[in-house]
Amino acid sequence: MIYLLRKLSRGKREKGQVRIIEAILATFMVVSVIMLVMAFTRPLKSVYVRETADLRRLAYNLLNTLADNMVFEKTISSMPQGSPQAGNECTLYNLGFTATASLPPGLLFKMDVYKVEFNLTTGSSTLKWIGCASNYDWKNIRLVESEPIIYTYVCTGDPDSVRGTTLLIHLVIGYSG
Amino acid sequence: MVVAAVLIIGLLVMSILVTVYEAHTLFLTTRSPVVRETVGAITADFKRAIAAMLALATRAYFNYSEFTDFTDRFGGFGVSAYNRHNFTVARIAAKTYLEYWRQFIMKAYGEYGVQVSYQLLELNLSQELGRPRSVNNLMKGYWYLPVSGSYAYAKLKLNLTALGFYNWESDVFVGLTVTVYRNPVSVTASNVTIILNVRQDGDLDYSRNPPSVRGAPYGRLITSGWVRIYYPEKDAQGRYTGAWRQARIKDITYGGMGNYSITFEPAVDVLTDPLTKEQYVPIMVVVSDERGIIVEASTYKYIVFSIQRNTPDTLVYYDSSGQKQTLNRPSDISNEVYTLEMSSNLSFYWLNTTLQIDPKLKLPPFPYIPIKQIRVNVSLDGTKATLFERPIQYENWTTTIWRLANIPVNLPVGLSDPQMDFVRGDKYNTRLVFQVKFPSTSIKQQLVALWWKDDLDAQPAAYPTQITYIRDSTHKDIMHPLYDVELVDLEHPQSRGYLDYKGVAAAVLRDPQTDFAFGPYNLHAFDTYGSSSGRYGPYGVWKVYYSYPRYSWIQAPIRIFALLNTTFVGNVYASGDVRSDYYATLSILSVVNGTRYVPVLTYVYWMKDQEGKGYWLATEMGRGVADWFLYLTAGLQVKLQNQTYNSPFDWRSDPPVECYPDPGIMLAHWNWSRDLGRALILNWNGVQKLNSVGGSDARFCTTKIASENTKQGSIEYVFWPSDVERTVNKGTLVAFWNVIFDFRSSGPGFDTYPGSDAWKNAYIYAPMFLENYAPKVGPPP
Repeated sequence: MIYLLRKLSRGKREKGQVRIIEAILATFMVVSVIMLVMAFTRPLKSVYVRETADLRRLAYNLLNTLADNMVFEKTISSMPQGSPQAGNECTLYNLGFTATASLPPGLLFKMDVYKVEFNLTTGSSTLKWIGCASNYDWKNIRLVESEPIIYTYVCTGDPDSVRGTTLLIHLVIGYSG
Repeated sequence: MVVAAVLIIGLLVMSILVTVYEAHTLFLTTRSPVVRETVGAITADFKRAIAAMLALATRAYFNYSEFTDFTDRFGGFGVSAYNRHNFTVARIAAKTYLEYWRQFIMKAYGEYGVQVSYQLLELNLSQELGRPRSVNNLMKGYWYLPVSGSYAYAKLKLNLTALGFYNWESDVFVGLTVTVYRNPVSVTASNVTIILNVRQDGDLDYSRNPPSVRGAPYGRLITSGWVRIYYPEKDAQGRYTGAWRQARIKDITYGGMGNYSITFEPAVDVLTDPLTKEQYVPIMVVVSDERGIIVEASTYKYIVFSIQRNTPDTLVYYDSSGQKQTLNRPSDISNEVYTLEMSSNLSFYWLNTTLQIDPKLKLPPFPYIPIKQIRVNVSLDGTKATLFERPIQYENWTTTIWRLANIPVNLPVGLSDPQMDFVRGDKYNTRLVFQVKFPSTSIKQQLVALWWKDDLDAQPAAYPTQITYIRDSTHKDIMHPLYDVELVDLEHPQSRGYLDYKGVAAAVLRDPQTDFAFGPYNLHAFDTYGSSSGRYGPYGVWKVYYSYPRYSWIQAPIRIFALLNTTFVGNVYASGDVRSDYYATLSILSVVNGTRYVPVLTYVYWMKDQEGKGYWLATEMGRGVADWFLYLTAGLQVKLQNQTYNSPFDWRSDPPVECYPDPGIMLAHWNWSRDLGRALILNWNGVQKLNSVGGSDARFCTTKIASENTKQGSIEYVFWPSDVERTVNKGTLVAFWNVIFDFRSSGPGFDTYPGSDAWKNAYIYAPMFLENYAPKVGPPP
């Protein structure tokens, strides 16, 4: 009697251990499948964020390149002293050409350049729009994906007439669709 | 059941993990480019901002007017032509600009919650410059030496609060260093080739505290920067004029590692440094990088020469009986102190007379440098062992044609503005005034080294001085431990407790301790007024120069001088008797620190023929203090030169004035019991003029008894005495200097003589004030 009870008991215990092993294996299988699916699936939001970041990085790199080559000094020194470009057309063609040449094809941008004037009497800073550069018809074409960035630039290069001038650059860069 | 539970729990855990991972990835993807690029953009812009401010400061310092397109735009910040050599003002302007920039940045990048600040820390430049230097208050310039540089340094601190990014710090350093190798590579008949090394910015070494920097080789000098070379101009005789000219650069070659070989025209003399014996070409090199930061370097850092004493140690005179006597000076001649001037046109002066320069001495001019940075070292024993810094004073002089007499005269126009350049001008020249002492007869020459501080923040030299100028309702006095010179004139006619001079300009000598007035030194006088002598004296206002423009707290350390320039004469005895048809007077009186003499240089020009009783070249009253007097003969009326006549005063009222013929280089009166002696030493040109105008009437006179029967005891140089009536012709010019000399019975620099021979303590110093014994300038030994 005692012998039979012991045999029955061992059989039940072995069966329980097998089930636990089965459960663990099943869990691994489910997780593996989930991870496999995740690896092949990219959430729509991630795609959007990644491209946004790339655009910003690209915009900053573009402006850094222009800054390193002192393009802004050349741009504003070629303008009549103290007078912004006429109208609201983007006529900073040299700046636009240099920027376009520095960007991958297909990217569109509009760059507004402001001169920062420090008023020592009031202690305030004011922005004076001096012109813009663009490589597309920004009045009629709407960018589908775009990013704006702000960049500040203190002119250090020649000529002396612009050295020490503080600029604010508002750059919008993106795709047309 | 168990299996299902484990599965559900596993799925839940996995989904949470995946969500967290995805959120984290999204956060990083979103955040990192903005932070990195924004921080980079702001840091780069801060560097550009301080570079622009360093360019502003250095361009203004080098040549404000050349860069007005830049410098004028910062007038509102305080930068101006007036402050062009004021690095403190430039620094304040830079800080103001950076504050505006800082506030603007916080607004411009407001969407990221940017907080910007910067900290001014110390950065060690010793490794870069090869001497202990640092930048610790935003920016510094160390110029005008063979290794020179301009630097700015700050630590930028940044928070992007909207992105959870805090405590970003970045050391921002901009700098430009130029090393000019003194020894030229080659010198031909037409050009010179030199080597210079240029370094820009550089890496910070944090292993030291404070961190140090070593500049990176700058290879864009030819393409993006510029270099200029200035060489000293020569006159037709091959002597440097003190002016600089820009050289024509014929070739620049970049040899890598920041080294440039530059060939320029014309050829420049190769000089030898008298202290190190190194050879060098005296040039200035100015370099600018593409950011506009300027550095000015020179190939030399001092100018060395010697001042040679030319006074005899054994003097000759004749006693009253005509016997030749010799007088050996004591070995201690510590009162032989020369107050010399070196002009920016490289001339040297003593008593406004040009000194002779040994042709072997090749002195390069001073670099373009603000006056405030110039210093002088003078030896005490003629060797380098005692070649230490001594007081220096900066004065502006002009050589002008005195319109009335049509003669060129050197006139002071005030103490220099220390922030202006020490450059040779067409009209005005700066004079560096310094003193050379000869404490003993064994010393024949002293070394002098004029040098300059490399720190653009250097302030003008301020030294302790014993001379002061006091101006109030009762004083117009220049105080000196031995003299109180009260300047009486039109604006201060009433001498304190003494006489009213009715606008006549004179110098009343007072006791600095008791304020007792000994009476005036009268510059010039003509005619009598009733029974009173010396009716018409120069009538005008003494203009006193005693402090520097914009540094009013720095008193003139070496001498305070007063200038009288008038065409009027006034009656010292009656108000309202002012005439413009007698003579014009130009007089420079200076009270000199650390000496016993007061030089008075005078020019008198007669505008009309005038007849009068008595004509006085110069007189010094005594108010009865002296009990002895002496005069030396000129040898122009009598046979012997420097024959002495010394006598105690015989206080007789009849005659009240005693006169003696043929006055020479020195008059003296003294009171040995009071240990007080004063001498008038007249230069040889003055002695000759006295005799050419006065002829046989020229006299030394002493007024023993003054009006109201009081003792006077004056010593007077007289063209003709008051009992002679003669005419002075229009166009007569009298140019002379008198030195009022204080001598004592004993003390440093004096010998011990009996009361009757007390004058000898003045005579042993008299030669130093005469033309023939003026010191000479020569090469260092």
